[in-house]
Amino acid sequence: MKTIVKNKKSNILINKMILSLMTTAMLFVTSVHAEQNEVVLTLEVDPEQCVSIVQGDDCYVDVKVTWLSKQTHDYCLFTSQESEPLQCWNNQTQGQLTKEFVSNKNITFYLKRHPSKEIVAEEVLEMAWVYKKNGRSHASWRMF
Amino acid sequence: MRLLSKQLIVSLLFGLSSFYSSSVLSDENQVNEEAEFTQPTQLSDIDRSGGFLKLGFGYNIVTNPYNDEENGMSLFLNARYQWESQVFVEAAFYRVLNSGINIGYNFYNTERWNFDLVTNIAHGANETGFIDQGKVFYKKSDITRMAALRTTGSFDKTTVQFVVAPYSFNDEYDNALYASVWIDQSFQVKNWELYAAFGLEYRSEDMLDYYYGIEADRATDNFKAYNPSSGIDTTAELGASYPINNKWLFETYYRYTRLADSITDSPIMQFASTLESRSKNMTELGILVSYVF
Repeated sequence: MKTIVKNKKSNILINKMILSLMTTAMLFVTSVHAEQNEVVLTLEVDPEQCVSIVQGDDCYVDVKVTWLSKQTHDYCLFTSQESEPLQCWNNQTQGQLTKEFVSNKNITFYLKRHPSKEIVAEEVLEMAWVYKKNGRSHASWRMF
Repeated sequence: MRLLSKQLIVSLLFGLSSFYSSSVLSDENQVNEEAEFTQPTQLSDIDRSGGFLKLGFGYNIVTNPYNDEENGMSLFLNARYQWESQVFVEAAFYRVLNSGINIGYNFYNTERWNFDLVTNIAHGANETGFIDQGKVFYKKSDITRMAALRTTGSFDKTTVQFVVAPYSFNDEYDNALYASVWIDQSFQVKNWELYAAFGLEYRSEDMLDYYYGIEADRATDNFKAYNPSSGIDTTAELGASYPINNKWLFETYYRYTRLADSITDSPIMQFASTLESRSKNMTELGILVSYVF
C-alpha cells in the first residue's frame, strides 16, 4: 500500500518536473511559433532594452533584428511605431536589419508572412530609465 | 544696518512670493498643453515621503583660495529622505548650489513648487594665521549655519531654486543674511543629458566682515585694516550624464565660482590666492560613475 502511494507520488513528481522543464524551455525560447506545418521561427532583437536618463525622454538605440525560419517564405518586418513594413524578404529562411530607433515607449517588432500578414513572431524592445519623472525636483526623482 | 537687513529680507520674500504667484499662474496655463510624461501630479504627504540615494565614486580636482588643491579619488553623494511628517534630511554635494547635510520641513507644495524650511550652510569655517614683520595675525571664524526659507520649482528640463536665510545659529556676529538663486537647465543629446546651471549667492556685510575683515588693531603693514561690503558670488556649472544601464550613470561636471569682489579684495584672500596650489576663485572638476538606488 505504502509502495503504491510512493509510486503515485513519484509519477506526480516526474510529471511536475517535465512540466517545469517544458515551461522553462518555452520561456527561454522567445517568440518561437510552432505552427501546424512545423515551421519554427525565431526573432531576436538586440539590445532588448533602451535606457534614457529620465522617464519619458526619447531613447536612441541602434537595434539589430535577426530572424530565422526553417521554411522558405516571404516575410515582412513591422514595428508598433508605423504601419508600413521596415523591410520585406522574398523566399528567404533568414534575415537581418540594423537600424536606429527613437522612442519613449516600448517598441514591438512583428515578423509577418507576406501577403497574409499573419504574425509569426514578435519581440519587444523595452524602454527603461534611471530617473522616474514625476514633476518634482532632481533630488527626489527616484523615491523608495 | 539691522533695519536695512530687515527691509532686504522683506523685499526678497515679497519678490519670491510675487515670482511664485506669477509662475503658478503661467504654470497652470502650461499644464494642459503638456504631454503625458510631463503632466505633474498632485502628491499627498504620504506620496511625498520616501527617499532618494545616489552614490558615486570617481575622481575630482578642487582648487580654491582656502585650501591647497585637492585631487584624487572621491565618493560623491546625493541623498534625501522625507518622512510622512514632512520632515526631511538631505545630503547633496554636486549639482546644487547649497551643498552639505541639511535638515528641513517641507511645509507646502504645489504641482511644481516645493516650499521648505531648511538649515543652510551660508559660509564654512575659516582659520587664518601668519606672522607679518614680527606681528602675529590670527583669525578663526566658525561655520555659519542658518535657518532658511527655500522654494524649488521643477519644470520639464528646468529646476529653479530660491533661498533666503534670515536667521543665523552663529552667535559670534549679528545681521547675518544669506540669499541665493539657482537655475539648472538640462538638454538631451541622444541618450546623454547635458546640463548648465547658474547661481548667485548674496552674503551680508556683517557676515563677510566676520570672515574677511581685518580690524584696525590687528592690522599689520602688509595686512591693512579691511572692512568688506556685502557681496555676491557667481557660480556656473556644466555637466553631462550617460546611462550605463537603468541603475548606473556615468557623470562628469565642471564648476566655477567667482568670489565676490569684497571677498577677493580682502588682504587675507589676496595673500592666500598667491600661495602655491591655490587660486583666486573656486573650481571643481569631477568624473564619476554613480549608482542610483
